[in-house]
Amino acid sequence: MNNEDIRVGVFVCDCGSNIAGVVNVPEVVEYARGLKGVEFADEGRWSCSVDALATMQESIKEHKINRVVVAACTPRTHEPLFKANIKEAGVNPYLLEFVSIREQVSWVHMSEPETATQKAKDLVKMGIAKAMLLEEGEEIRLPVKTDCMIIGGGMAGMTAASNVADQGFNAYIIEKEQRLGGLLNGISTISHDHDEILAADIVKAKTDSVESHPNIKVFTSTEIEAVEGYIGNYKVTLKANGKSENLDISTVIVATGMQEIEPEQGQFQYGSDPRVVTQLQLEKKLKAQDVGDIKDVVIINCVNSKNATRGCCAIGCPVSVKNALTIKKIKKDINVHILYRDLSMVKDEQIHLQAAKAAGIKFVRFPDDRYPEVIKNNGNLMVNVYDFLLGRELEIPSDLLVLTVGFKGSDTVEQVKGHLKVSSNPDGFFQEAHIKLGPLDFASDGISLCGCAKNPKSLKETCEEGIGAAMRASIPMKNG
Amino acid sequence: MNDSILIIGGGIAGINAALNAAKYGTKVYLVDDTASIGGMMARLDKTFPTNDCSICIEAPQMYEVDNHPNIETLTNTEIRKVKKIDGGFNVKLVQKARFIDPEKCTGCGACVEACPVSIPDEMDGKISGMRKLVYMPFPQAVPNVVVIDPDCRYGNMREKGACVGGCVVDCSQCRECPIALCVLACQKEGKDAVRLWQSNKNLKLEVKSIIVAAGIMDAKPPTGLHGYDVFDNVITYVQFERLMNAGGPTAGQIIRPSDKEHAHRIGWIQCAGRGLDHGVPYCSKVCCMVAAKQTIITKEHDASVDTTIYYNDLKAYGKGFWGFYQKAIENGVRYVRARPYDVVEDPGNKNLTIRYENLETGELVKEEVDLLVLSTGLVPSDRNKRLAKVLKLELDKFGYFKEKDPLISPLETGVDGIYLCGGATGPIDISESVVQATAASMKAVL
Repeated sequence: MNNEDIRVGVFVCDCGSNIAGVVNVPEVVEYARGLKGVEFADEGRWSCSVDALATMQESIKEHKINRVVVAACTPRTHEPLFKANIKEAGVNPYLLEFVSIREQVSWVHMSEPETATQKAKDLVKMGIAKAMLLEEGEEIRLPVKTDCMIIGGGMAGMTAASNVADQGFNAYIIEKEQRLGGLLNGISTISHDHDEILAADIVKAKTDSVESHPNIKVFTSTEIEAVEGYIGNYKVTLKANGKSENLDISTVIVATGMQEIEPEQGQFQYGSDPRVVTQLQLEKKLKAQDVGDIKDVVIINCVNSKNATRGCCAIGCPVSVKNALTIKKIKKDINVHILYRDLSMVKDEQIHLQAAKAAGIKFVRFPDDRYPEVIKNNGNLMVNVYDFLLGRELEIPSDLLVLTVGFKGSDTVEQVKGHLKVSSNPDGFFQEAHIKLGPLDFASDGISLCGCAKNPKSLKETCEEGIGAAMRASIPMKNG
Repeated sequence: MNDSILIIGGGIAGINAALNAAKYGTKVYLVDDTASIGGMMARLDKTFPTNDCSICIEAPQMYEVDNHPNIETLTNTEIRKVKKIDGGFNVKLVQKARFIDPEKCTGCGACVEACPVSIPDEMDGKISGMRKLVYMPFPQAVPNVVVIDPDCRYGNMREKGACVGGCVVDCSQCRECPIALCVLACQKEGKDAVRLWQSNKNLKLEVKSIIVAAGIMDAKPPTGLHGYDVFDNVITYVQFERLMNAGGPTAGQIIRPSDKEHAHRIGWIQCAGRGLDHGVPYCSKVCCMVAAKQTIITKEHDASVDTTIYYNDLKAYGKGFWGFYQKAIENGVRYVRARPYDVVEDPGNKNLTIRYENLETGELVKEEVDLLVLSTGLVPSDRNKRLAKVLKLELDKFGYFKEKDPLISPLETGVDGIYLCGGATGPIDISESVVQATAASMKAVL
């Protein structure tokens, strides 16, 4: 089409008073009318209203308009509507140019109506110029088959796989370790209503159902060598025992989990004294129901968390309370102290906190900038802590010192980032598409995210994310 | 077998459950008992920790709901009866009259302009929010259709200047109203959408599963708590959110109720009422970040405003939350670990003096503020009891819907085919609501 045939229609919206309250809309319309290529320009009180849309269609037909400029609120919410509308009027939807004179003009220049009007004119002029260069577009449809690869065989990955497979789709779990279960394999119990249940039971039930599912194929001790392609058409190369295997994959779910950040050597005597352990190391002891012959347990929360470089570990408060209670259950007369900065227990966690207090577990609050000190005296570990609620220094003996440390992403994060071209934050947690409204998606279509690979969370939340990620991956597979 | 699903509640959880199920290919009925979908998120100004404008990110999803061929949105509609049948549920609903023909109304607002009566808004009353008797719930409402206060129709508002023609007949007796200003204004626009004689409509649905996304509420402080309901300038954190919202009753001006003057010293009391007889017994998990956000935005409006957060425990559990708290401190927000025990008002200037114990030093301190905000936490929606009865679901000891087994089968309830998500399950933030909604939709479509 050459330039003489281009006939631009300009529709400027008042958005009630949202735009017209600041911008002199009639002036903008008049200005647009005078510009080259413009065949028709009009003002609408609410251009998105049903009657205005009908009028727009009539104008398009009447004036043989073949390029449409809408100057209104924002393309994020309203572009699809106007695209559909001009399509109904017989114009290719890609011949629409949307100019945002609400978000970019009236809302940000509320107190300067004159310059706002000038800016609106400039934006409309630019929109018209761009519209004249637009070419027709076609939407293509790519087939998406029903093969979903889940990276990580922990609870998030297994839950996602079950939900994918239950729809009749194929799920392939890729696990780098020898067995499924992930982080939960190393955990003793999970708080549950007013009680605890064995983590091993949860893992076993889930692993059994996954391994016996006809639509799930599990690859353990397997790593991903290469991923190429895009949604509906990923070529994946797996590596196991020195052998390679190829998979054709339609969608991907990332569920690579997290790991504890080890304390620095010597910090709180960690590394130099075997009685100083992290929460996950304690879990191992609890799992074996063997904490040794001990009398005094001290738990220090927020170790290397909530400082200049790292935030809240997200699960330390309930975990410390749960493990303290478990220790008390193993042996009632063990003294347990939890040293904390903040203790905020949501809903049922509050019940566990009350149970902990009732069981005689002592809570000591230390100031943000004054962490406890651990000293060795005649072979005994002593914890010196300033209890700021009491306003004095306490000296607490300890023959088991537990450090509640923070978490970081799995060691495979860098590799996965390279394969899938996705991003992560400095702690190795993957970056979701939108922190509020796209929590299970990556920016690229066809790849979803769940569980502790995103950030630390409880088992319940992990499973919810697994189910949700399955839904996100299933939508394109269901639609083909 | 019927393949459609019902979602109860059109907040951010219900919206996301609906969109996911609809995109999956399932027919969705999205029911909300208010005049627009959007829920609590539509009332908020910004979202933590990115300070995205709340309605600006929610509106596109609301709009997508409105336009999705697989979603039928039923606003102003209540669930009355649910019967379990083979393979699903029979549901009886009542769509309350909004006294407008939704097919004809374009949301132009001519009737709202014409209406002579303003009354205090349910949402924003305390902070002088007003609405007309015919009104749009909020500018981005979906559906974009006004609603008429039933009180208007029964003539209860005549004393305030409604129905200026002096008609004495109840609108339900008459099918033409030549005098109501809203009717005339609508006719003048060539639409004739006002239907003052409209009655409630009974609806019946057959669905295979149900998602309860009935939401959560901010806790209302008991009278007298830190001076609430006694002193003019003590408001809740949700009222403050409305104050700083450009779409709120003061167009974003942070002014205090007593004299409509800008507040220059603002205090936030966190965990207000926590653990007291009528207070919230647990940590509601969002209020710390809400307060951080509110102080940051307040400082953006006017950096010279003094902002102090009186708190005990800090909850900064999510991604980017700790950094957000640090940003608040960098912006000059003062955090004081405090146990407030008393608030007194200066009867002259209506300023408030907080007396508190500084937990770190043990000192008793007095401080004066112009405006005091109570972060009262989140409590179960007042719909839960009725809804639980209708759906034959159990509530937990706090009043949230009970999951059958939170660990083994999260979001499932005691009734097969009914699932939960969002604030119906307990205190929750937006992204967690979206996660649960996506998960619940997975369960519901299968």
